[in-house]
Amino acid sequence: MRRHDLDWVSLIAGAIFTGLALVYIVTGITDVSIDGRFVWPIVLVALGAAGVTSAIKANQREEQQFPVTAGGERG
Amino acid sequence: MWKQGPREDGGAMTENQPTIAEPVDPTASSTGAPENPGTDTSSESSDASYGAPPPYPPPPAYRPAKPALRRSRTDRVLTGVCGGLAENLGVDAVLIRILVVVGTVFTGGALIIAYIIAWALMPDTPAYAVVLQAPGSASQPGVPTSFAAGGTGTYVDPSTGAVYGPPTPVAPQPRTEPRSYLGLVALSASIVVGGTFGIAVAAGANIPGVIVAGSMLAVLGVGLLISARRGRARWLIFPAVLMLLITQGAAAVDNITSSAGDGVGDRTWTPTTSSSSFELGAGSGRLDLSSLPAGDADVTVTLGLGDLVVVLPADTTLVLTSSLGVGEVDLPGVPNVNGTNLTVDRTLQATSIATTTVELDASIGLGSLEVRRATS
Repeated sequence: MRRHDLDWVSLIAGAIFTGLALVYIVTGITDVSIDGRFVWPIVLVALGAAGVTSAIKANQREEQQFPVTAGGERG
Repeated sequence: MWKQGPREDGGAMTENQPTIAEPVDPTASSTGAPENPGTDTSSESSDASYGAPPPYPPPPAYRPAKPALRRSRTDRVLTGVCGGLAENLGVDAVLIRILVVVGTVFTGGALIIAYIIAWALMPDTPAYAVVLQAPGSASQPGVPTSFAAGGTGTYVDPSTGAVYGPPTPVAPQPRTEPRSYLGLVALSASIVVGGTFGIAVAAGANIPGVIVAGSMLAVLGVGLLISARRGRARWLIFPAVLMLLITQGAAAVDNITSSAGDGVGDRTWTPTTSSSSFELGAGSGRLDLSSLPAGDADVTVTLGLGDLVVVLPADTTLVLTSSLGVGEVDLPGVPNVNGTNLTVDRTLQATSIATTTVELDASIGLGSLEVRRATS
């Protein structure tokens, strides 16, 4: 597999799913219980944050490809 | 040189310079020039100034035109709404689809309605809309490409300037990077993990379902983490969302089996003392509060799987504390509530003069809770 630039969507989604999986495994092993009402809001916040981060990064790449010269040199 | 406002430094053109240098709108300055009570020298200097490059900012660098909000034909899973939205916003369509799926789950299906409305409102991309030429890519920015492409059987979108032509066979873009098998590997590994646990359970091991589902979810999550740096497996988010739903369901079922009391069947409970507790594994329970003595009473009901109906006399105030793993709560005068991991706490005042106050603590794993006013 080829190494590539950091993919924020995969990173954040992977972190949230792995974390929730570990939490659920802990609840299965021990008597600890979690309030399931928080799970989907947390997933939404994480995926939304991943989207925002991805969009910002994409915008930065676009800015580098199409640099804006308006407001530059004037006689 | 083209700074606005009066200049402090000297020079022959000092008194005329502000009126020459200021105009950003050339028509305003030309109409203003005759009114200027200046000499011939001043008008000559004015003309000389107009011969110089005007103080306009240079045209902005070319950027591709934003695609119209249309359902995508090239990036389509169901109707192309997500693909079209992604093309319009310039983000990854996978991301839009994930948000739609998760949002649908989160809103209890309400987002489906918005999706259908979007499907109805968003026009489909025309079949001939194979973009032959990005707007302004071959000609100078600002030059209408309709002149360049006229009479060649092509269609120029007047709003965007994009040139369309008949759907000609286009050779697919060569892959810029090798296909990534990471997602397939992670999904397969997750299935292997689930199957291994399944064999262990079949062989007699006591493994809660939440551990099985959670382990499969963890494998998918690790696959996603790896794909942040190596390989491409962003689509693993779809099976991960599905597996998270299964994990939640497994956790709810585990709670039912661990918290349910003994017995199966239909029960009618008529408490007569100030403190009482009832349990039922699976079945229907009917709790009649009409025989309680005046004053305060505590009643606890635990039901694993089934429906609980509470009959509430008119002279009784009910202080309800209820929790349901999966199910529905139906209280008089209140809209029904349903979903997973419900917690409904509410006080139902007596409809006549209150003589009894009941604090009811109801726990139901999977089922429904209904409170009815006694008819008599």
